[in-house]
Amino acid sequence: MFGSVPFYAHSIISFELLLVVVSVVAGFVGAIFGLGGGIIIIPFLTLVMGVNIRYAIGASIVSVIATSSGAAASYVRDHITNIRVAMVLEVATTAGALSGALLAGSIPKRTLFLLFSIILLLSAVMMIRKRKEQEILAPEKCDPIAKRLRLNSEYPDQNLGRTISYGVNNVALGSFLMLFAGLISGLLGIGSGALKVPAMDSAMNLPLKVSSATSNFMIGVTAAASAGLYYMNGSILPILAGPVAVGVLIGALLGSHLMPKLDSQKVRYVFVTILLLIAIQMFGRSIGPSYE
Amino acid sequence: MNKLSMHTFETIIGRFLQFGVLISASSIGLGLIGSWFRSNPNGFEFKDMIFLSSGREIHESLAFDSLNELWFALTTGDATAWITAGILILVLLPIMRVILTGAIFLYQRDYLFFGISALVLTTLSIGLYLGKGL
Repeated sequence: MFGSVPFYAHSIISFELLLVVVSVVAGFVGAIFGLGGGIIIIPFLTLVMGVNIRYAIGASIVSVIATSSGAAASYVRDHITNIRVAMVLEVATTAGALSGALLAGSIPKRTLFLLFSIILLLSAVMMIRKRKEQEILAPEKCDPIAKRLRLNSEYPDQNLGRTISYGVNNVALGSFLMLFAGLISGLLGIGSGALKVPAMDSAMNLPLKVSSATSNFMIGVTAAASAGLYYMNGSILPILAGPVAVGVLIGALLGSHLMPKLDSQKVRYVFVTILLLIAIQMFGRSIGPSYE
Repeated sequence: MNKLSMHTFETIIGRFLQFGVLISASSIGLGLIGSWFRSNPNGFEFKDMIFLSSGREIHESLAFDSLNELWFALTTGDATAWITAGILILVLLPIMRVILTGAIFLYQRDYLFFGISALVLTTLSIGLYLGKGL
């Protein structure tokens, strides 16, 4: 039934070291492109190492918290993150994530693979879409809800060398989209930053830098909503989740330090190609023979 | 913004998260190194980790049933316990961040945002509570 045992399964050292190395790469690449490591780590664990997708999701969700908390520290310190917007939207993301984690147990694994391949596709599209020059919303033109919640803020733009004041729009629509982003995060054990960032910059008019930083800050709390549930029901295996969390964290820290120095255009297309290939593989798993 | 500037507020939260991640990663790291010196952690058959596409479930639970049990295992230097403790700290970190943020909003007499923080915290607690029953 098991066939031959792969080389990495012969000793705990080789297994853990392999996991750490792969996770470092996943975290590194993820940080450079503003995606979480989960989108790489879950396909790797399931497709290459043959780990049950439930445990892969459990391991990934822990690494999402590690990356978010590790990187949030520097973003928050640079005063780009909008903590008030984050708190308001977290009401929706946590509710979504909790529902997702509750649903995950009763959704067939094939469907999880299918959903995952769709998210990979979306992330690839996100990465190649042309960013049009974004217009900053004047604070006085903001949504009345944003005014009431005092969400408008400002951030120091290092490229322009001055502080930019911005207004926030469509809080209700943004919250609704976040409910969906949270649901996907809880279902698949990923940060779903690929859904959160466009919800903030396109729907709510937040400046792009503020959107990425705030998304990163929120991802940890979103993941914690489902991680608690996954931990309690035994989907988080310490020996799998431990090395993955540490590896992704190290990779993300390295990636975020190197990011400004990289010319990312060429690497971007390589990465999009990889995402598409993984999407096809994951899709194949959703229609292929069942292993259950 | 009275008493506490937004600037200080953000710095406190940033430092807190950074510190928490450091503690957690150290605990996991120690556990991982410790596990190399044991061929069979926690009575768990190592090859079971791979589940080679069989998708079969694990019979033995690796989680500790109670905090007391975890604490005891930690004091005996159990590698899995150290990894588990690190993971628990990581999961609790955003929850503590919400509590900290809520406390700062309360200190600033921003009752609306204190309420929003409390709402997020409630959702997070429901997650932990429901998970326990599964």
